Amino acid sequence: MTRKDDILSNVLKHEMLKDKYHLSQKAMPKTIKEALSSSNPIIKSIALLIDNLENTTPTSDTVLRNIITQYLNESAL
Amino acid sequence: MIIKKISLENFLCYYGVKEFELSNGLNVILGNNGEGKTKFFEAVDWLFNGDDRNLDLLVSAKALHETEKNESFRVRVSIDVEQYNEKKSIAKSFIVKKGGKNESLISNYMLEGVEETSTGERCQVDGKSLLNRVFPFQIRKYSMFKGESELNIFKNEDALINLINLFSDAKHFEKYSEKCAFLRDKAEKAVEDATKCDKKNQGLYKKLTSEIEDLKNEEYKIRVHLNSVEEQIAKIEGKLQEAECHVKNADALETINKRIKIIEGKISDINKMIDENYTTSLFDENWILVNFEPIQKEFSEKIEKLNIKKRELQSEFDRQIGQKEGEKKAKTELLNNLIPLPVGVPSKAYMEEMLKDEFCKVCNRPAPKGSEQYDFMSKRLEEYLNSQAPVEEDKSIKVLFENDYTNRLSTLSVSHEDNLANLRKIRFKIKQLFRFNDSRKKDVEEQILALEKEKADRERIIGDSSIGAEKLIDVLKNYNSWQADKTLRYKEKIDYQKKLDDNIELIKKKTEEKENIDLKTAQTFQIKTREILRDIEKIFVETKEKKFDGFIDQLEKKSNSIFESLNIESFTGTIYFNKKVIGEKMSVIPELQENGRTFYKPNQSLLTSMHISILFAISELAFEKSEEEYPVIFDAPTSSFGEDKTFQFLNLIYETENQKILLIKDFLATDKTSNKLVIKKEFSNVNRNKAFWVVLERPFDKNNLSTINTNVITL
Repeated sequence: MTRKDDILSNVLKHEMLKDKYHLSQKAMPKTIKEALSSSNPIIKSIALLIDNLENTTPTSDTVLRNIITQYLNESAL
Repeated sequence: MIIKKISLENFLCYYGVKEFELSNGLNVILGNNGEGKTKFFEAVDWLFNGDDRNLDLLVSAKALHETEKNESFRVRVSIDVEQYNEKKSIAKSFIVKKGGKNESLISNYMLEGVEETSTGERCQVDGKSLLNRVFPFQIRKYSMFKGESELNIFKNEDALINLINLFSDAKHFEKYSEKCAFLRDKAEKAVEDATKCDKKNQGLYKKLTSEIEDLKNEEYKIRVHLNSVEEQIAKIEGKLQEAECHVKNADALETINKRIKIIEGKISDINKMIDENYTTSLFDENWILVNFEPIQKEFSEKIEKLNIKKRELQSEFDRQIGQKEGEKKAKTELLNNLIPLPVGVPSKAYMEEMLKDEFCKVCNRPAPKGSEQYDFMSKRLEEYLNSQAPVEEDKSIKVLFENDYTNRLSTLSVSHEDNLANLRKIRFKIKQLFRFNDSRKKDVEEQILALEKEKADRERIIGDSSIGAEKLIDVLKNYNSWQADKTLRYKEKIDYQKKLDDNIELIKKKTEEKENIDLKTAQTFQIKTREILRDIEKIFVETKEKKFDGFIDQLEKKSNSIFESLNIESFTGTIYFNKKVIGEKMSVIPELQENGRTFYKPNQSLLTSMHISILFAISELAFEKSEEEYPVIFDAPTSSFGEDKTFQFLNLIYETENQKILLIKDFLATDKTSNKLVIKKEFSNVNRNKAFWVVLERPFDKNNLSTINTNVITL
């Protein structure tokens, strides 16, 4: 398991995802690759964040913001 | 990583080359004060963390003294280590060239590294990078401790962050908190900007934003106050706990002091009641007359006799005087015919009436003026009047008792007789007073006995206490004032907590109001994006906290397990890591607790056990994380233990896994017959893997460093 997957699995254990977003642990992606393909905005946003920050050359704050905010704005429509 | 050998060459008291062939497990280095323990520690510390400053202060004075002018020698500290079955050597050294007297030239400072592969191939490498590879800097920070005070690593504010960076997954989540906050901020701003575009909302929105900001500032201030009050409570609790061990004694002392005061008061009152002013009573109270009655009796009898005699004499005298006067009177009467008025004239007034009426009522015939009868009457009246005129006393007759002393004596005697009743009471009064005084003196003696008993009790209390009587009384005074202070601070805490709750509630309310405006005005996608980013931030922050708490929990469990094993059959309490967050700053303070109550003032020995337990726990964590053990080196870590506890401590840490090098001054004594320093028999019962004795070569001159050379004896 890579560090990205490890961080992801730790974060996806949070109760809020089950309580507020009704996501069961079974339905949770196991890897960052799976999470990046998720159709759930919060899962994908988390995955985008981890994927960017754990890269050897992380993107700048502005680029990161554009990626995530743009995705969320569009997915919320 | 295991240190196999440490070599010191011309380093301070270590003249020439001195080697310590170490073992895995427990290595004990014994040494008396000033014989080279700390210099050993400093040598290793210089190798690991030192630099090229003040190198001349590390040179062996003996080496310098023994070296000829313009000759050189080397100062060197090296370690041979084994890691993953590979041998590595790291050495730090410099060259000293002797100049004139007391002058030296330092050169060729270097840190060398040598690696030897499993095939036996040796190659020179950069010493600094090799050192950091075999013994990472962050681990080294938690591997070397000088004295007991350095054992509390949490005194250093960065210690927690360092530990988390070393051992906790929480470090991976640190950057997420920052990035999430940034993304959420931007999403908040986007919603705000959209809401502000609607002019009708601007006024109210601005007001709410400003109010929320003010409330948040207020919340921060309240939290600072709350924290300050909590710190004050902790300080007071600490003082109270420290005082509590004395306060029972102080309480008893105060009671005894009160009792002593009462007894002293009683003694003083009784002493005041005792009247022994006998001299005053002798005169003022007539005590001197206690035996006066027989004297008075004798006096009285004499006075009586005197009176009889006086009366006899007076009577005789009076008789003689009477006789003389009678004679004289008779003579005068004879001379004056003895009858002043004629017969038939009853009184002077009758005669004067007859003269006035010029009629003789005796003869019953007129006696006009100038007549013979009238002249007769007038002459007889004159004679009568002359006879009645007071006769001048005869001064020639003397009084017998001119001063009347006898009468005065009689009066005095009578007066004394009258007073005798009072005088008779004096004897009783004296008896009564003596009896009273004796009785009071007995009371005083009883009170003095009671006082001595109380004083003995007081001495015992003061003796039982580790502090003096005055301080003990101060402790009680302070204890009571601290108790009052604590109650006050708790009240303050409750007030601040309520303020904080109210403030948070108000912020929530205002935020809801503001968000209601957002909901009505901003775009739905903006609201949703903001909500998701808020949730993501919360998820990352809480995951980080969970990781952090997990790490602290793990550290706590490990520390307690070691702590318990170090303190078998004695009170340990529980190590509790108190996490505090003020603003964005987090700190962890290890505390000792007993049934959930913080033990603020543990003794040094317990504190040292606690710190060592935490260090061993960190060491275990390091092993679990990197699957590698690292050595720990302690210089005099158990000064407060005493030899018995040190013995117990050494046997217990012998059981722990990693390599330990302990420098201690215990188990050494001076042999009475030879007057030489020897190792006590008890040391043979200490479980250890290797032991050394660092001892100064004798004889030496303590005032001349060039005579100082520490020898290393492998035991």
